[in-house]
Amino acid sequence: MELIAYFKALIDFLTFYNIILMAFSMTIGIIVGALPGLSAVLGIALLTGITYSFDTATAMIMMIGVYIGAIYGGSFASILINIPGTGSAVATCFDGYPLAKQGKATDAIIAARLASFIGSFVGFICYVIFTPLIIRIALSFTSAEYFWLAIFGVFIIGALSSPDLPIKGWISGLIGLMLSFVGLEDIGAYNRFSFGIPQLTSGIPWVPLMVGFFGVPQIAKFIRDTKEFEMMKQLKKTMNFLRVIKQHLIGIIKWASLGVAIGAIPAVGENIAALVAYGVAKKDSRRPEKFGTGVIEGVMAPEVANNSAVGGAIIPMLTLGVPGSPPTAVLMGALIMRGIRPGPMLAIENPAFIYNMGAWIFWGTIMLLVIGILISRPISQVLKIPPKILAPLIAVICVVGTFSVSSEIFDIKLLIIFGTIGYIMDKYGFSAGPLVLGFVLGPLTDANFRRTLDLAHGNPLALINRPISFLIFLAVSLMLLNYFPPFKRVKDCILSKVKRIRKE
Amino acid sequence: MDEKVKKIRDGDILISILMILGSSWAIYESLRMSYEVYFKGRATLYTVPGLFPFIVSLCILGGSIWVFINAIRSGGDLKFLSPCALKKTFSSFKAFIPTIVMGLMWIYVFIFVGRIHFIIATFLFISLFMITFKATQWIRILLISALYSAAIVYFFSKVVGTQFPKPLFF
Repeated sequence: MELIAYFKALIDFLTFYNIILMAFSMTIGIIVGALPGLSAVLGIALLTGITYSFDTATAMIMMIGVYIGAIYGGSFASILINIPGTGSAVATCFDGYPLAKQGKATDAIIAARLASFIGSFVGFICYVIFTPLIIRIALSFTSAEYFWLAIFGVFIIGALSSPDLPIKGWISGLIGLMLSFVGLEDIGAYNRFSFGIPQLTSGIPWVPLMVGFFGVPQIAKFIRDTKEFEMMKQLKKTMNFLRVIKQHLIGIIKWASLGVAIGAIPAVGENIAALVAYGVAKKDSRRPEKFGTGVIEGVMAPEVANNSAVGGAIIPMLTLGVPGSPPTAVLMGALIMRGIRPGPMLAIENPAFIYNMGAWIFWGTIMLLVIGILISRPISQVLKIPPKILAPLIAVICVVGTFSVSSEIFDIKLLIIFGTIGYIMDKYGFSAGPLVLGFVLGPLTDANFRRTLDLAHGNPLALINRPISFLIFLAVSLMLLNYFPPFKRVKDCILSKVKRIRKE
Repeated sequence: MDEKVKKIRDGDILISILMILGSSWAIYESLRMSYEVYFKGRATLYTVPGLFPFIVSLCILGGSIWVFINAIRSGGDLKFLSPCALKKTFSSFKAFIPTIVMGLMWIYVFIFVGRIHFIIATFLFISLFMITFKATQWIRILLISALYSAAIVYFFSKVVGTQFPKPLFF
């Protein structure tokens, strides 16, 4: 029954308008991803404002196109100029650029494209298989589970996004939670932290916050970090890719599964998926010492994983209302602005949307292959556009896109204020990812926390007395404890003893 | 200590102080609103609106104190805010770039938009930006700024349906 619905959605997509729209947004996505300093999150955040007056299907086709395109586009800059276009393409640099230096840039680009295609396709398959399963499980969730799931998302992204000090990521996430509390609250309609500003009564608007924290700091960094680079030439291909895929088939399945699994963990996302897959590929390889000198699987592993993570990240966003990555957090914001509340109830209230999302991911995957072939040579020209010309043009889109949502000058003032705060925070290691995720998940935490306590007449044990909520609570506690020095010392002591016993 | 790490630790001190102040205010505000609602009998202790904000602000306060202590222990200080150090920092153009970018965006939004026509405001912003960073030749800058401003306003007003603000002056 569900397969028929997916099939219908796939067929319904095939109109001239949708195909052109997907092709256009995919091109934009690839360009955004290819330009170092610009990312998938920025692309989607900008589109949130620009497409606000469009119907939901049009807006979502564009956002999915940009999302998939940007994740793939990051590989171009990694391979041709050794600067990752996006965070998810960092691992692609390790072997992509050495390959390009050997005169195999075209091979590396084709490998990245095929890998991205396979990754996205696996992401789509997993989306179709796992979405209904997770929805069935999620329907039995109570407010306590939602509360812990949201907390888990905020803390896990905090730990992963602040390599300097994980506590900074957690503080960012908590600040995001605090920002989400501004305005009328859900239970008693009390006006909190709004400073008497009428525009804040309904809460901080999504678009200025997302574009402000993700877009504006990137513009400043885009100009500041401009480097002189040597662009590698794209010569003729030298590899038989059918043989390459056959040779690495088991690896590809492994990297793709890893990508989906990591993408589906709330808030982790494509960047981590790509790095982990690269590490696994190196570990499994018969020639690990060659990694970093230009091996084709060093390009394929991160590209398979980061694109499969797209499908993986969309699964918890739609089924649980907990985004799997920063771009999906923005995507979720865009959905909520349109009155679509992601979560298990979506399957009951708007089942067609879940099937349509599957169709958009599928056709986005196909389009990635087509547009990827068409754009692979012109992209070198795009990479030559100086950031000093591009930056003000992007800044204007940030401002106009934000203004277009509500036609309020107050919103663009907020955008600049958030942008400035975001830049300062980012400079000192407080990333924007956890903050925005905290903002998105904030309403889920506050309302569910108080609802659970209310139903249990104030008994705090109600937050952990169900198996799933207890498990998530345990995961959060262990994650937090893992960073505390005394616990770390005990853990290290136990691990060393275990090692010694094993040796003996 | 590595200079980059030292800079981050210096910044940590400043940011943690700001966050300690901010979270203390949020704790006060959470307690105030909860007290108000609770004593009016409009909520129980566990449904007061300030309960969760109070817990979150407390966590931010604790975290900020931890960051502050860690920064002090690692050798961070606030000497970078002294006039002499600030002068040295801003003497290099590269360090000044983000401030210029942010400054131009503040001018665009807080001074130009709403006072002059949106196309003119956008044209001025793009031109100023490119001239400041010597992006390309003058004539190209003017051409790009004019064409882009007109195109973006046309696209948003015709396709997206955006109502741009009426200018105060011209």
